[in-house]
Amino acid sequence: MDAKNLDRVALVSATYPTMSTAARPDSQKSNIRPFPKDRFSDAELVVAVGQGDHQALEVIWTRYASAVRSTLFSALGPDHAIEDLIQDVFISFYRCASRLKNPSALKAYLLGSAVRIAAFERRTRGRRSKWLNIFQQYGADATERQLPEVGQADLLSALHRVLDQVSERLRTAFILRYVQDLTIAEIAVAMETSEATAKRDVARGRARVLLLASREPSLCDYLKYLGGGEP
Amino acid sequence: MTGHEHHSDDAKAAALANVLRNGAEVSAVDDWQETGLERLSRSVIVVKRIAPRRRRWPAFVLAAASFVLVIGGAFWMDLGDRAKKVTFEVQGADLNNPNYVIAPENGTAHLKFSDGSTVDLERSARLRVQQATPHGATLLLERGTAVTHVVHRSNSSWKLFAGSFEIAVIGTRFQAGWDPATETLQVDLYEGTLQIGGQRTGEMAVLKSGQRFHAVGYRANWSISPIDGPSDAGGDVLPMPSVAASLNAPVQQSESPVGKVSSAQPAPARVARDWASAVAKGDFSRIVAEAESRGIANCLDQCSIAEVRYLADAARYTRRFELAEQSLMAMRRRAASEAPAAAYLLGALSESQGRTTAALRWYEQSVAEAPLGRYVSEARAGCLRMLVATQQHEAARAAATRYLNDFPHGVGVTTAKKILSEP
Repeated sequence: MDAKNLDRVALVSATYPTMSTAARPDSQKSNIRPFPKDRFSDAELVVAVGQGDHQALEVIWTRYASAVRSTLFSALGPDHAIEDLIQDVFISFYRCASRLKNPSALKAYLLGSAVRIAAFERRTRGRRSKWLNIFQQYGADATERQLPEVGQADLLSALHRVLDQVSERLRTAFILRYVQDLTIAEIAVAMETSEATAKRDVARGRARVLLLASREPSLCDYLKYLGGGEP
Repeated sequence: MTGHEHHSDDAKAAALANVLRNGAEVSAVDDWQETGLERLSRSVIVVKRIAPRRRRWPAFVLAAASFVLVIGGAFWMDLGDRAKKVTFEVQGADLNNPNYVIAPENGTAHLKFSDGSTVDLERSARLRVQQATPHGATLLLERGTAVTHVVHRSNSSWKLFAGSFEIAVIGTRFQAGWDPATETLQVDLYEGTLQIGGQRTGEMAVLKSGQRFHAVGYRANWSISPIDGPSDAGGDVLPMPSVAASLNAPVQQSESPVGKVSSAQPAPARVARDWASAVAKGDFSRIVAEAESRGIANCLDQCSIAEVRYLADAARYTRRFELAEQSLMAMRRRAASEAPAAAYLLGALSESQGRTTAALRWYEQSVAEAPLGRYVSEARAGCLRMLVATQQHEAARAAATRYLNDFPHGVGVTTAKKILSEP
């Protein structure tokens, strides 16, 4: 641990009086202030939720709702169902919290659940629009998912078009690695695969996204700007 | 060569990912975390209530139970067939996800359960099959009308949730209609008996065949009347007693549906109607005054969504901008279906005060939340005006071109043409 981190630990310790894990939530002594749940580790929170603790679920929501939302947004694009799907992710977690094999991998579990739910949503919509297109020329989904293309939104729309062309597995690997900044080990947990496969998927997903992005005019310009030349 | 010029593939991928992260942040409503957490808390209560109870049995009990199971294998197989969860099939609608049914706009959807029970969803109604058990199912009516026929069995257990109301069903035929915008529930019971409870108030009503239950707003008075009698939505209402009171005189409550008692408080539906007519007459100050007399915070929390909408309009027209903003934010917080309209009105409100950046953001929010909504043409026209006002001419030209393409007769056509005609 470097000096900077040691300073930070010292500061945190001075600000919040800490307790040993054994004395944390279930201490019955009235003169001991309950350990604040927002400082629980992920594993402790999962155990608490498994025992029906709503406050622990609130802490998990506060800690990870944004990450779940941005994962769903990355996988689906601007979509009116995102708020519903966030709820699905957390309710599904609440239901099986007591059965999680590795409670410390909570973030990987939630984000893995989010990408699976997003993939399911995409598949069901694909099937639905396939049937609808028999009867009507234009599917409603494509129109529903338009953003007001103003400024940065152009870039975003182009990026979603690119991601739409990438296979589900590679797209998931790309999102978990680069949008959520998960490690290879965490991605392996989220995708329920080996670390070697996860690493390979990340590399292939990145290559595929960059290749397709180079064919999108607005993204191509953006990548040229980043790279100072050809993307 | 600088480091900037030597961006690796990793750095490029990270930069693209950053675009996605920013997009997620921009697309989020300000208070989505608070409203989402509130919604999650409500859902968890429902999940907990319907979750099967688990008990830890001593090992010897389990061993004895196993022995009994082995001995009575054939009999058990027979029972096993009976203990299967009820299943259902849907006719007339596509399953958006495995348990979510949306009736088509011009027809009905029919759910047929394996125990013989049925649910008919009328036009555009939305229903979620939350849980199926061997004895029934838990249904969530999100909006619209559902005609339900539950086959009576000795141990059947069916529940239907609509907003903050819970309907416990044993074996009946009834029609339930739920409008989340006005928080109105109407239940017509044709056969059997129903128990209707308010989750937030803890009150409970018992409905018998031939009766209609009507409630507007979760804390408002409920009423029971005969089905073939006049609707009491705007008339006198019968205030429901609390649980304790209903234990004392439940029979009188449910067996005298025609007897009407005027309530001390005005019925919300009537208030909404009065406020609608006041808005139509331009009597905005009366609405604001009435809301103030009831307490603004109280009204924003407890009035129906329709009333909050009228209050927002009245506040806007009387230049009480802060109150208008509070009302519209309350609409967004309380009714997701009204959020895009409220976002558009917040944009208009900000524009009228010269807050162009905020107005642009709200208009974009409204379009993003409902790209096919009723205010999309107006909101995109607002975007055009605000892009010009914030000197984003290139973006304005692009948006104007798209606007003319999508809305050749929209309200923003003149603005769009003017933007494109300028050099």
